Amino acid sequence: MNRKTRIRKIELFVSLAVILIIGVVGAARMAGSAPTYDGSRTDVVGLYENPANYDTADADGVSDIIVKENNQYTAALNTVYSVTFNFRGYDTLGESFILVGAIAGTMAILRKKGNKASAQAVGTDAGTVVKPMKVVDYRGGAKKKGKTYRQKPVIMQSCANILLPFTLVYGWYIVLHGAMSPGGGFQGGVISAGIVLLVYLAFGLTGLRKTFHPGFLHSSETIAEIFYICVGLAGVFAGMNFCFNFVFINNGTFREESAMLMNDAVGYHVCAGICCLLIMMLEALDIDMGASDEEESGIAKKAALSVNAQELTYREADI
Amino acid sequence: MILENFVASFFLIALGLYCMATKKNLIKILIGMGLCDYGANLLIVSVGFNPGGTAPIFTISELSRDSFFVDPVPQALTLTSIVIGACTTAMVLGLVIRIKAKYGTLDSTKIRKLRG
Repeated sequence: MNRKTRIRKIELFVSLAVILIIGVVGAARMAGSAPTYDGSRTDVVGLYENPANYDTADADGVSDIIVKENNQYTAALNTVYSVTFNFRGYDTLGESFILVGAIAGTMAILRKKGNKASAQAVGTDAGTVVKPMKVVDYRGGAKKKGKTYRQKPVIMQSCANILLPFTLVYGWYIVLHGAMSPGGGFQGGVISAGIVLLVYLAFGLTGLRKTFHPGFLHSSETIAEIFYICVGLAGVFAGMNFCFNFVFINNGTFREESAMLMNDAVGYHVCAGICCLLIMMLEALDIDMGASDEEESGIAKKAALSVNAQELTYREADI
Repeated sequence: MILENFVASFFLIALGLYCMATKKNLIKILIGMGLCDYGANLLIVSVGFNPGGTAPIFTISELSRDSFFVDPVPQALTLTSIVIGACTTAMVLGLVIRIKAKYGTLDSTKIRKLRG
């Protein structure tokens, strides 16, 4: 190690130590200071029971205004949800455009080069491309009878068959009840996108190609985005602002607003986008863990044939 | 409890910067980026924390007269930040897969060299 690299290393460690020390000192000061939003003076139950008559004149900060006007201007109980889709609806639109951009970029990067058939398979007929399977050979030890066995995750497959509908229902429960309980479009979409991994673990790349259609998922994601913009523009055509609630009912028991449609659009958008992303990554890995029965029988026949041919050639060699 | 959150977030950010600055493996650089991301998320959430506060949801059966909320705005910001961070991480992973297929290595010093 010469002198230059050693000096560079010392510089690096000194700068990292400076960042860490400044950060820790700042953290101590921040932890000692008052919280950004002091809600302890707000009567939450009074706010819920009579939102219109609550005094918002002495509000400190934007969070206080949001919490105090949540029940008056939105139909949601979850304040985080109403920040995302009511108070910051325009920003959420931009954030979901980042999602579209990242997923389109991943699809462009991971598209198979040179092979036009597989490049089109991303868009048109991904369900029909079937690659030859790898046959796992368990001919070990002394046994040389020429029997090949196929590794098949039976436990994974039966568990996945039971768990798949529950996962989807739970994910979409989180999406559709985002206004009333913890959750929303982003969280529920990611949860329901987890089924891609479940299908992959149980049925392999072949089952994934048969179940999902990445091109359709990617285009329907764009459609969800257009739906979001349409719901936002409906507020403009109703004579109000962009992303304003053109449907708004809040009479205590029955709560309805048009931002819930935006929540559903974002939920579908995130679900389709993450599904598409996971499928692209798994296709790039190109390792098949399980396979369906029909291909297995065909492969078993082929394997048996090839083994017979091998034995024949061995015998010929012996003679 | 709140001090530990702040210190841990700055520690995560410094660790991520260290990973990105010293490591040569692209996957390790990516892990450093992820650590920075999580540290920033933890910092934003910790800023909005208020000792004794509840989740900012008007589930009126669980609230009493003297309960109060934590700050909802940093939570909403972190929520979108997590999803977008995951997507950009996936995009960088895709790039790494392509680089590995083209150059046959993940070492960032070897990737820079010309191949003729």
